[in-house]
Amino acid sequence: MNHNISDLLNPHIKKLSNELSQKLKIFDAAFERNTNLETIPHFDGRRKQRKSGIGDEFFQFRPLQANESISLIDWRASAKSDNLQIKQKEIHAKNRLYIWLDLRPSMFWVSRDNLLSKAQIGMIVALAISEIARKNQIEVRTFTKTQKSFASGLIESGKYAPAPVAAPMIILSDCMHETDEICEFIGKFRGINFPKAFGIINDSAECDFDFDGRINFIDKENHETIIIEDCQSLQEKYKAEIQDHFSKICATASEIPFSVAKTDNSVDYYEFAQSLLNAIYRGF
Amino acid sequence: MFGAPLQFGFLFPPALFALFALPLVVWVSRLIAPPLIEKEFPAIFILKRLKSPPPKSQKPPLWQILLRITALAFVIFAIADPHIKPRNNVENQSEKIEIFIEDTFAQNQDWSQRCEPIIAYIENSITPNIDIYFINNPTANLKNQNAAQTIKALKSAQFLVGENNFENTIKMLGNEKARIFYFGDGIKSPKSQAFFDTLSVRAIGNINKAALPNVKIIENVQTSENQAQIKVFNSANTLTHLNAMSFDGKIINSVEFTGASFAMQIPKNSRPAYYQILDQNHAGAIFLTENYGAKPSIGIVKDKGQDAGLLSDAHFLNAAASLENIVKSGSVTELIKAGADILVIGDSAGFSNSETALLKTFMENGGTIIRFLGPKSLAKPEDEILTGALKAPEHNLIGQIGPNKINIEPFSKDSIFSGLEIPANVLVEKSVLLEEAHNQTQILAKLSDGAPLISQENFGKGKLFVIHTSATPIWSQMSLSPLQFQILERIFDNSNINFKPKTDNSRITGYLLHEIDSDGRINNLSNPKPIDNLPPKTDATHPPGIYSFNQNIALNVAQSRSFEKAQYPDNFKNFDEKTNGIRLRGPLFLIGLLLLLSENILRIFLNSRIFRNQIASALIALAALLIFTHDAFAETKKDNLKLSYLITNDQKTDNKAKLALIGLAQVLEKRTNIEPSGVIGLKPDSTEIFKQPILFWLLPPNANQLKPNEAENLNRFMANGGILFIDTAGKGQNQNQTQANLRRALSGLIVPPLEKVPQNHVLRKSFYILQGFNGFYQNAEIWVETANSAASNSLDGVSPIIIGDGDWATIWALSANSQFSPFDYTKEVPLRVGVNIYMYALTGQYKADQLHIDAILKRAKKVKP
Repeated sequence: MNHNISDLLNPHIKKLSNELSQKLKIFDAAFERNTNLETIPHFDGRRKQRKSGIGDEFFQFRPLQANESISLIDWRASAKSDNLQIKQKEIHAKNRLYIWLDLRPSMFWVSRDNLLSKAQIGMIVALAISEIARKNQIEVRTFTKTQKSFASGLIESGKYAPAPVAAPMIILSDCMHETDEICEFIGKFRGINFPKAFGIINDSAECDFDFDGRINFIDKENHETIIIEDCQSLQEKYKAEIQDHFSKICATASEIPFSVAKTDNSVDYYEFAQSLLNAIYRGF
Repeated sequence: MFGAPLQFGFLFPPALFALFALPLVVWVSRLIAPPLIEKEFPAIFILKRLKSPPPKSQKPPLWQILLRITALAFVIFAIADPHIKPRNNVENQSEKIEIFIEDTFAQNQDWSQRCEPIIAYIENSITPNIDIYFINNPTANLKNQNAAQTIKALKSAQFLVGENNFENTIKMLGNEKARIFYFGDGIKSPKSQAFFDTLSVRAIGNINKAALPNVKIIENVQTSENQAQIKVFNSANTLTHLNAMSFDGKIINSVEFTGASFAMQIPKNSRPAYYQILDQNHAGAIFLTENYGAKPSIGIVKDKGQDAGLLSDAHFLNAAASLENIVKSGSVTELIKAGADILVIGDSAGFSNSETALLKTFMENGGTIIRFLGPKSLAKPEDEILTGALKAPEHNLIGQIGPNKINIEPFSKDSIFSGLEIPANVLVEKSVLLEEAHNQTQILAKLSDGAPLISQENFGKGKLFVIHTSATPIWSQMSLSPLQFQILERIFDNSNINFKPKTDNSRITGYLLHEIDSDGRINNLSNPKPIDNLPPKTDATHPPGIYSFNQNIALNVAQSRSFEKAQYPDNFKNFDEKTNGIRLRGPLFLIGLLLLLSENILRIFLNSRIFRNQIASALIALAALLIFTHDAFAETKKDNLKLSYLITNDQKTDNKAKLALIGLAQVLEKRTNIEPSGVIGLKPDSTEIFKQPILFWLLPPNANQLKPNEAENLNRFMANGGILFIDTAGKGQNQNQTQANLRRALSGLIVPPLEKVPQNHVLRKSFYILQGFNGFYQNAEIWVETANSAASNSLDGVSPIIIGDGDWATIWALSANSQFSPFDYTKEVPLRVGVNIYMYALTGQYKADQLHIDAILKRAKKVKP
């Protein structure tokens, strides 16, 4: 059973995302808590980041280094010191949150008609988190330059792997590709010192392999098939293998570091969304 | 159900040998590979890593094999035809059984079904003393039959026409008492009452009456112009479906009616050969007419003049009429004497007086004359057969010779020629008109200029058809086309046949041409049986059928008879099927079939995860229900422990504390054997706090000072072994403010001397081994009662108060209904701190007491199996 992109923009999905954002509202308090933290959100949606850059407020003095312009020297500070000092200002950057929703074909697969597809869950969670972020003066972006709306941007960017950005981000995927391929993808985000959350959304059948009998499995995305003569007998092995797959992905993600949350379409995605929100909120 | 002992048996026991072949089901099941289902699945890359075990799918699951074996066993048992019946009729071997059959034609209706219960009864009988009496045909009587012989006789019983001969049967009866079975035909017979009385005297118990036939008999059919009045005897007064049939088996008309009589319309151009009631299989359901197999005898009248051979009228008429009919030719006198039904006369110059008289009489009796006109007729316009006999002699004929050849007007719908196609090349060059048409003259067909082509007059019982043109091509091309034959055929169909007065057949030898058999079928006899004398009604030697003497005579079952519904005495009881036992074949087949079907249905549902989940849920629910009903007072799973927090002056803080404990409760439940039953907020002055082992106090940023009674209450709580855990959440705040806030909150409380948790403190190992106590803030600290102070308190060394600044509540709150990655230690450690604090509160110092650990563990096992 396959859904398609049009299923991501229907009113039902929007309604579910609104409901989710209402449930997640309690964690608006978490954003409010930032008033006690070192970084203070500005009403214009910008924040200081304890980094030197273009800004209005003093950040620090530091010694002049080779090849730096003399015009940068702060003479008054240099007079008090043995070295030539430069006055640096603190960078003012807008609060931004990037969300990428994997929309490759596997995300649209559903094992049962009455379940939401992985892509649909991803869309609901992404819309709900973006709603909460907006309320907190955080700009939510997708990994595409041209976008009419956040939702359409998600859909457009979902077809291609995102490039790393220096901002908090949430990545939503089913990780239904080779382990090494996923780990390599995650590895691209190494060294970016912003909170990052990695949300894994699966279909329950992908985790449980709850099939019986003799089945010819078809992967339409990669045009591969495999006949399993007795699915029941393979179930435990499958579970162990898929667990190993996810463990490796989680380990790699934690090293980056990513906060990892996982869900499947047979359970309520509220906890999942909340975990992702918790993971990134400290970036603001 | 049965008053007597039951007997179980099989009517076809050899089928049971097939049970030995059942193990083959296992072998056959293994040979059949399960169906290959196609499914889309994204995680094929995982499947490819696995080594698929050798296909054991060839071996079907046990439930499937058992189901198949059970289903087949049911089918085999069904084929063996098991039955359960009472033993009462086999107890007495010497008991005599008498079977009386009113073996008239009506008995044939549904015979095999009606005698089935009695056959089933007889099957179980071991008496060799069964007599069968055929009341209509005593020659078929059988004496001293055993069960098998009786059943054979019943199954092959023949039912003849004729009437029951009760008097004769009475004479054959002895005095011995017998169990009597009676097959009535449902038709009232004379002298039956005395017979019934005799039987009643001789019967052991009541007389077992078999089900009566639902018989319908056509008593009479009277035909008039286009209508047949049908009278029917209907024993059950149910709906009768009756067809009027042609000789060649085509349905002429069909009606459904209830009641005893009905008028059926007979279409033109049709002559019903017989009437038949559907759903009846006896001779009375057929009513033959004399038209059955009858063909009109047609006479072509030869012209007295010169025979023109191939150009004569007679030649053309003979050619047209002889296609399907018996045709003779000759003079008027010869033909009428020979018994012709229809006379066809070509263009003639008139008839002699004697011939005219003969022709008139012929028509008056019902004969049909077809008269073609032409030049000869025109030459003698006084022909009485045309006009004089019908009307005044002054009616002259006038020839009108048209200038052109004229077409024939299409036949009207109500004409007897309706539907005949007129070929385009058939033109009429000349025709003859009557000067003045007779009032009774009907014009059946016209030429396109309005001149009549065919007219008809009724003459006595007969008919005169006049064709106003020649039978030869001299005036008309009709004779060269099939139209002339078709017109003649239609006239033949509308003519009377067998109208001649009945002759005395008693001295004439006739033949039985067509016979109605006992099943209500008409058999055409290839060798007609000679019959010397035809009685007024059917009997054993004169079955119903068509007899040929001078003309065809139909002899039907109902002829000279009337029918009435039979009345049987009160002691003639319907043979109760229940006493006959039950045959189990049907139910067993049904069960076997359902089991075979259910295999597929089960397989489909078992492959459906939704269904499987539902089954699992249902089983769990059922199990739960069973457990619950077994012991309604079973202990609930949860501990009777509620995590409690102190209600402060700040609603927001309270909400956070509540959410924090909800989160921590979930963690405790998942990871430890502490299963809190909920979270509760308690005011400091509440006595409920004494039921709690630990109170969580999340300090608001501007905590109020405790009231004296509140402080006293909390002091008592701590003195009685309770632990007050205070989270100042102050690590991220101004330390001075935090300390001032804490001091304000603790005002009035008896706080022992405190120290940061030492390395060997139980709090670091009560569940998890903790190096630090990180909360929302890193490097958070926890203070507990100093070791020296604790050692001297009365609380077994347990600190009554724990104070920390890590804001663990935030992380605990976030963990509520959430799932952290175990790799995220920023959240994991605060949760572990919470677990350790609560384990410390509940277990005290036992982890510190390694000396008595064995005894403690033993005691724990005894308390909690």
